[in-house]
Formats: sequence, C-alpha cells, structure tokens
Amino acid sequence: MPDCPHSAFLAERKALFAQAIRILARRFDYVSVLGTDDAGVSYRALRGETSAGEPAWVQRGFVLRAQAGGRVVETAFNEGLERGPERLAAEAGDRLAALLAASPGQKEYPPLPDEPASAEFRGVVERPGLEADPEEVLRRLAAFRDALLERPDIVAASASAEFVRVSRFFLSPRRDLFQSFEWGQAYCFGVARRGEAAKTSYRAASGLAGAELLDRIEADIPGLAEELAELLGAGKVEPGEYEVVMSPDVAGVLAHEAFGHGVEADMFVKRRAKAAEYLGKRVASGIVDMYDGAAGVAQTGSFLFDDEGNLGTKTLVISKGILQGGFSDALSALELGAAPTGNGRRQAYDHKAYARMTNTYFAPGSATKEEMLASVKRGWLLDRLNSGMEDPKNWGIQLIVLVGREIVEGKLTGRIASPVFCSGYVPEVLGAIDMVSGDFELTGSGACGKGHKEYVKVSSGGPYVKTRMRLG
Amino acid sequence: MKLAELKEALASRADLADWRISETRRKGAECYLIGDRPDLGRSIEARDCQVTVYVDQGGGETRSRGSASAAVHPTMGGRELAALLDRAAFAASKSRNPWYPIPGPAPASFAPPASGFEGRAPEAWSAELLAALYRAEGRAGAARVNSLELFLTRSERRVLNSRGVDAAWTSWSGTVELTVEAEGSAGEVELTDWLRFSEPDLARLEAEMAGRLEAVRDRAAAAPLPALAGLPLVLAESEAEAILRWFFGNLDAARAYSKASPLVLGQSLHGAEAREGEYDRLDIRAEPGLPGAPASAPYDAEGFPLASLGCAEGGVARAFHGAPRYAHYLGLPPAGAHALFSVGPGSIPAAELRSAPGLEVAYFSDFDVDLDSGDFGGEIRLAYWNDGSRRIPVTGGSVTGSLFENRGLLRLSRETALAETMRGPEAILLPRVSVTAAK
Repeated sequence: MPDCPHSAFLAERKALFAQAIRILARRFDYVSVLGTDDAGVSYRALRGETSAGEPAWVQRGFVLRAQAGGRVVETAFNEGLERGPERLAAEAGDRLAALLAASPGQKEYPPLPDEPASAEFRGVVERPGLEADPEEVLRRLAAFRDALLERPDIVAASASAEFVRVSRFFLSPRRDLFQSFEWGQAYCFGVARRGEAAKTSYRAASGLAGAELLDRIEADIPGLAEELAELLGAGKVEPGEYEVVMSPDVAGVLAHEAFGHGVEADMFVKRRAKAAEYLGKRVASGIVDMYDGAAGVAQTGSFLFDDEGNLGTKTLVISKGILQGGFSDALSALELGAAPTGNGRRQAYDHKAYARMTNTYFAPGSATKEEMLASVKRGWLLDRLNSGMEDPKNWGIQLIVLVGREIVEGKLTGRIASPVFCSGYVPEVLGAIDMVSGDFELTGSGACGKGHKEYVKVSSGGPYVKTRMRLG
Repeated sequence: MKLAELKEALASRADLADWRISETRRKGAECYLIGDRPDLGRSIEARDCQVTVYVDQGGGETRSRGSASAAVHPTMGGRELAALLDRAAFAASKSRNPWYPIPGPAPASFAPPASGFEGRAPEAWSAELLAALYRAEGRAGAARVNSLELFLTRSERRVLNSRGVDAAWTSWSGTVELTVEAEGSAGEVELTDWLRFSEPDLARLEAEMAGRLEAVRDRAAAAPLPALAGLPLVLAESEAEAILRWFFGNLDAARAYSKASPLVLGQSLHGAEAREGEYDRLDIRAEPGLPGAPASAPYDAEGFPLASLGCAEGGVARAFHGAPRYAHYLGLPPAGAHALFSVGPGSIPAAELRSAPGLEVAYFSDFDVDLDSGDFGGEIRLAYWNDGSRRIPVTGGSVTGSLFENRGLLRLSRETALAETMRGPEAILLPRVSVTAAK
C-alpha cells in the first residue's frame, strides 16, 4: 500500500511561504502559516439518480497568524501567490498590521512559543478513495440503495460515500511540518413509511480508510432493512428515568458531549466550563476512564499536528472517575499556562482555530454486553445515534437515538421505541455508570460543531456503557 | 485561474453537453470578544469557484445525463484545471440519470435592495455593531455577555452556464454567536444563541441582545421542570421556524421525486383527519427575499430566477419549490430552489396562545425536527410554564412529539415575525406533546 502523497501544489509553494515567513518575522514578534490543500470526492445514489462531486471539506488556502505586543491576529486568503514572497509578505503583513491597529484594547497573550520541530506524516489506506473507479463506486452505491428499496415499506433510500485527502503544512521561523492522509466515510439511509408512520435509520462506516469502507457498508444493508421494518412498529418510551445500556456509538457521544466539550480549554478561559471547579474531583463512577486524542488511535480525528502547528497527543480526561484536565488550542494553553495538547483545529483555513476534540472515548472495561443486559431490571438498550448537544456551564446533556429496545428483567422484550430523547445531569449520568464492556469501537462518520458552527471531523466511541438517564 | 480562462476551458471541451460555474468573492471581518474585550482579530479575503459539468449519453427516449461538481481553486494552473475537468467529465459520464435541461437565461423577477452595509468595508462596521450589541448590557442587572463572536461578510455571487445564464448579485451576511450569563441561587447559568442579519439595523441588534439577557436572568431563576401532562406546547422564533420548515421542506420537488415527502399536491397539509375549526390552515410561500434575511437572492444556485411562489394555500399543497431538475422529472413547471419562505398569519393573538395553561419553550439544547418522520423534541434550557395563573420559568427535562399527531391541531398566531429564513407566525401551538420532567 503506497503512502498518501503530499499535495504537489503545497509542496511547490513551501519555499515561497518559508521566504514570506522570514520577511514577516522582521515585522512581528511571531508569525506562522498554515497551508491547506484538502482534496476529495463524493458519490451519491438517491432514488432514480446518481451523482459525483466533492465533499464540503475540500479546501485550498492559507492562514497567516502574527503576534505583536502580545496581541494575536490572523488573515486568511486563497490567491495572490503569483506575485512572489516579497509582495505576499508585504500585502499580508499590511492586513495583519491593520487588524492590530484597529483593536488597541485587544487581549495581550504571553509570547506564542516557537519551539523547533520538523516532522512529516504520510498516511496509508488500503484502497485510496480518490483513485477508486467512479463507475464502480456509483454502481455499488446504487445497488445498496436498490436493495433497500426492494422492501415494500421502504419508500426512500440513499447511499453515499466520500473520501478526503488531507494535505497541510505548517511553517514558522522554527517549525516545518507536513502531513497528508486520507479518511473516508460511507452511509446508507432509509425511510420506511406505513400510513402516517414514518421512521428512519442508517448505517455508517468511517475511518482512515478508502473504498474498502463500501465492503463494510454492504454487509450492514440487510440489518438496516430489517431494522427499518421493525421501526414501523415502534412506539414511545413513557417519560421517566431508566437504566440504559448504550451502544459504543451512543456511549461515545455521551463522552463527547459530557466531558469533551466540557473540558475544551477555551471554555475554561471564558469561564464557561463548570469542569474548572471539578479538576481533581470525582465526576464519574470509579470504573470510568475517558480519553481524547489525535494520537493513540486511528480514526477520523487522528493527525500528526493540529492547525496551529502543535503535535497531536492523547489526553487522559477522566481517570477512575476523577477529572484530570482538558485539552487546548494554542491560545487557551498560553492563557492557562499549560502545555498545548494539539487540539487547535479549524473547520477550514478561513476559520478560527478553537480547542476541539479529536477522537473521544471511554476506555473499555471488563463486562460483556450480555452481562449488562442481564443486569437491567427495567430499561432500554439505546443504539443508532442521531445527535447530541452539550451544556458545558450547566452540565445538561441531550442525546437523540433512533433505536431503543426495551429490557425487562434482563431480557429484551421485543418492544422498540423511536426516536428516544435522552437527557440528564452530566455528573449524575456518569456517576451512575456501573458496568462497562470490554468492547472497543470508534465511529467517525459525524462531525462536531462548536456551538452551532465550526464543524470538524471527530470520532467517538469505546465500549458499551450502562448507566441511568431520563428518557422521553 | 481567471473566470474567463475557466469559461474558455469548459467551452472548448467536446465531451461536455453543458457546464455551470458558480463563483463567490468573499470579504469578511471577524471579531472575537471575551466579556467586552477583543480577544482576536481576523480578516478574510477569498474567491471560491465551483464548476459542474454535464455529460449526455444515448438519444431519444434513452437519453441520459450525468453530472459532477468540483472546486476550482484560484491558484490552479492550466494543467491542473485540465486534469480536474478530465476527472469531473469522467465521473459525470458514469452517472446515467433521466435527462433534464439546465436553466437558460432569464431576467430576475426579484431585485433585492442594496444592503445598508454597502459603501463601507466589513471591518469598518465592527465598532458600531459591537456598540449596539453591548448597549443593552448596562441595563441588564445581573445578566451580562460572557463572550461574543461577530462575523460580517460581503459576498459577490455570479452564476454562469453554457446556456447563456450570467447572473450576478451581491449580498451581506452578518452573524453573531453569543453566550450570556447570569447568577442564580445555584450558581451561574448561561444561554448560547445566534443572530443573523443583512442590514445595519442597530436597534434590532440591541433589542435581540436585550431579549437574550432577559432570558438568561429567567434561566437563573428557573425551577426544575416538574412532571406535566396534557399541556400544549407553544414555540416561537427559530423553534417555530423549525416546525414550519417541516412543511416547507417537504414541499421540495426533490423530496417529492425521491418519495421521501409525505405531502402530495392537492391534498391537505393537515392530514385527512383534520377537523374544521380545530386548526389554522397553512399558507406557505417560497420567497426569493425577506427584508433582513441574509439568504435573500434573485437567483438560485443554478442561476434560475426566483419569484414568490404559493406552495400551500388554505392548508392544501399547491406547488413544489426546488431545483428545476426535479420539477422537470415530475412534469411540473420549474420554480427554483428557494432558501426562504413565508407562512401566513393564524387566527389567534400570540398573547392569547400564551395566556392559556401550557408550556412555552424559549430555548432548547438543540431542537430537532426530523424531516422524514415528523418526530420533534429537545432538552429544555429555558421554558415558561403557564399553570393557569402564573408564568413560571422552568429548566431541564425534555419535550417530544410528532407532527403527524399535531398537524391537524396546529394553531398559528395572528402576528408574524422574521426568523432566520422565515417570516411567519410569531408563535405556534402544538397540543399533543409528551413532557419528561427534569427530576
């Protein structure tokens, strides 16, 4: 399997930017540039049509960051390179200087560090998605769609796949980093309808992977068709608090929403993180360990360095139920006097970097899924995550799942509910975790927003987790 | 890569039946504040260009069309562009969909008035906008702004295609994402929300911020949501918009073509079981522009001229909006893909909707309305429980429901207001919901 190639465009412009950085370094206390050239392809099969395009993640551009007198400014652009390094540095430098002049009361940070670093990473995938035969991909997606539409109750179905080749460099006077890797994701989605009852569900596959993801999705189609038929008979959960067994994808989003967003260090800087009061204190039951990190696992949140030129790490967020700390972008690390964890991420070159999650997960435990189900007196097995939302200051949490299966006296009753709205108070939900399975599975088919925007690729997951939540 | 060079490269290819170019030139200013102190300054200047190529195969009854889209970066050279177009044309040739035409040139039937922002660069507005946003803070007592992000972007849009479309327009888009906080008996609480605008309406910004500061004060005083049953749900602003968007979204020709939409032209939006007098009939129009809405545009993304279109009248589906391709497939006249919509007023004053016992949710964690299933719900951050005599702020718990169970009982307020992409009833009432208590 060949290494993922670096963007030829970026490779050819590195010298130009290295020269521009040297010029700009005479004008500012700190200067750096992130160059991006993320390429991609996307394929879709809807009822009666197929199409090819590019994912929204495709981008090519640059963001220059400068610091002067402690103040930090950035300018983003995607043209004007042909005029050479002097002109590029002069024009971008003038824009940065104008931003500094326009904001005299701006916050002053300690000097941005520029420790020497030089590193390169080229990922490997089995069957690079960008080189896959479009005819073959579209043919297979159409077959997945048609397999669902063969069922009489399934009125709409779609199948899609997208493959992104990330290629980025980061240059500063003392740092020279370059990384290129590919991630992919594939989905199948169906709508079943009988009379006015309509239900939806999906299957997804993702990872630092290419066209091999289609094999994984294909294996899931029969299960999806069965599930959609079952969901047409779904009812509602009677509102109340229940024991719940969460599948790895639901548990992962619990981790993500509960103590992922809650320990983003920029939230500490804004005094928006209730977690700041709980560092070193118990926030979960003693069997809970939770991590976030671009390093240590291979999924869609993995990388060598973040969008501020800091190397990715692995952060132990919760150890045996005790909150250890969070993860940071460069500026929040400076403000808090902490070492950056390599979590400064941008939606694209023209977006600000924030402290963001990467791969967030509970560590596996020792129980089995069967033991967990057997221990439930009256509760629900929750699967197929739809969405989640955090509340870092007040520790509320919302999860919406598409499939709830009733458990009574340790057995699945066959009763099914959809959708299931789950809510709770984070320390109570994590404090009630009494069983964690030995499974470990990460899902990276979604995207994470900060508030209601700034989407980045992340993954989440881990084991099955048993706890208590309010359902409705 | 200049636009003329791209146009020439596309026109010179014999393997393309048609092509389209969409170009956006953006200039934006961004301000990030913690409290009232600027944290970071940013500027953006970028040109985004998207090309779509169409490849036809066969003829007569079996004629098919495939398409593929790709980003053309301004830094691409001629060789890179040629390779990109080769790949796109090859991918397009592998999709064989029923043939459809692309829009031809047509005059705009809607001309959005020039934004009041025009004439100054985005960054030149920052100080005034921030002053307006922070003005209400001084009157807000214990409530204050925790942090705020302001984005103001001027975009020049242009759409060209091989059939002679050459549409151009300019738009301004402002966004504020804000977090407000207040001290409660159990500690600080916060609310996070956003505003979108296209005009320098400083009074509106001040009023919007004042409303959010008042809301966070109420959240600080809110009690946990008790167990409630049989009470109707009242929604306003973006949550009312999300509910009404379910109808608008399902009046999209693409969803009708894929059979994902449960709505049928000529049939009631309220269901066959709806009984006269128990609901307010929906009048829904797809709109090219709404004053103050950043998504106002004279053309859709394909360069098709947009006009106001009656999609539902008297509660009955009358027309589908959406991309012209799907109208062609359905044998309907093309209408274009509208981003905005309006909903006519209902029969009941908003004050009356709110005066009866019920639960009005002002802020959810993330209100979700499923376009396919019609299921809706969310965790409550701030609601007002009218117990018949008092309006009590409550927090926590959740509310869920189904539009299929509520569409025949839907009530709309007489007053209308602008939400992000809709002008419609200021408040709506959904009587059949399930409430989960906070504890």
